[in-house]
Amino acid sequence: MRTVFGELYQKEKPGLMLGMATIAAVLVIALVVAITGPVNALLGESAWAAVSAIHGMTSLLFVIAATMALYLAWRLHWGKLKAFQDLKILTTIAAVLAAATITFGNWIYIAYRAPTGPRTYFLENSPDIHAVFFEFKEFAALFTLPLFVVAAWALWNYGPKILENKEQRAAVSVMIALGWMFLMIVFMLGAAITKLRGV
Amino acid sequence: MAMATVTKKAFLQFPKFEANGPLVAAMLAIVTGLLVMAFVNIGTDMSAGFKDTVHGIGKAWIPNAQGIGPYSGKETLMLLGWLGSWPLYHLLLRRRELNLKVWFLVFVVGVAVAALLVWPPVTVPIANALAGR
Repeated sequence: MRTVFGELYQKEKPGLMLGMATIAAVLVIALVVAITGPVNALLGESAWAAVSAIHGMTSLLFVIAATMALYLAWRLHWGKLKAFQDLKILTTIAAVLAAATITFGNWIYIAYRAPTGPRTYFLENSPDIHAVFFEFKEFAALFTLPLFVVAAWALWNYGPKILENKEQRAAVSVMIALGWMFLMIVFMLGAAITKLRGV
Repeated sequence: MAMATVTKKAFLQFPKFEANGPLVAAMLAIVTGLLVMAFVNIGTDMSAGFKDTVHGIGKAWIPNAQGIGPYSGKETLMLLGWLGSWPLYHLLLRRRELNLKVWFLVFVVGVAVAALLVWPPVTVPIANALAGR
């Protein structure tokens, strides 16, 4: 039985114009800040500053999308998921962000391996940082791509019918959880290594 | 008119598979790609010649792979192992209804083994033992 508030909620859908106006306002403010503020000073003087910033930005967005997907995957696992479309879209976004982060990670890896780059510094001062943690980070990052791509593919392929299949639900939700776990390992190692010696 | 709409809708839809075989195929493809990468990584630790070959594979298509090093070839082979094996497994399993519990276990163990094999404290002793060092 619908309540009065339920009826009101059905009628009061969020206004498209309000959303567009908010986005436009944020973009205008961001543009003014970018033009008038010393944004370059935030990026640093390195020739790799922009690539490094984009790699960091995509990885942060990846963490946000993957974490939201993880929560919905948890609901999926227990058969309590109502927002199936949200999970499908978030997992797809996470897969795209995995590809973008890896691509920019490849690019910045050139700076890491350069003769004056962080690898040389670590090998001279603290070899284990490179030999163990960075070596693992570069491979663990690659685990995220197939895990999120296949999870997204499974959600698109089986559709909401997957909600009725306990084993398929478990397979996809664990896949997302594994992808998130590898992502968090890589993200934390990346943050630590950047803190110790940036490009 | 109605017929045209139905045809257009069908054209825009992705082919969908009902059986769980395609899901198993996709999971096995992940494990294949990751294990290929892990074994190639051990191989590059064992032999300088193999390392150059792997680097050459990366240089064949990745821009600035000279700077990226042998990692470019390792990720290329991971992609080839994953995306190359997926259609093959898919063709074999696309109509099969399999025991998902068993294949899911294979998948989880496979991913765990691949992760262990790229963990340097495990990778380096294996490479050294295989190379007789």
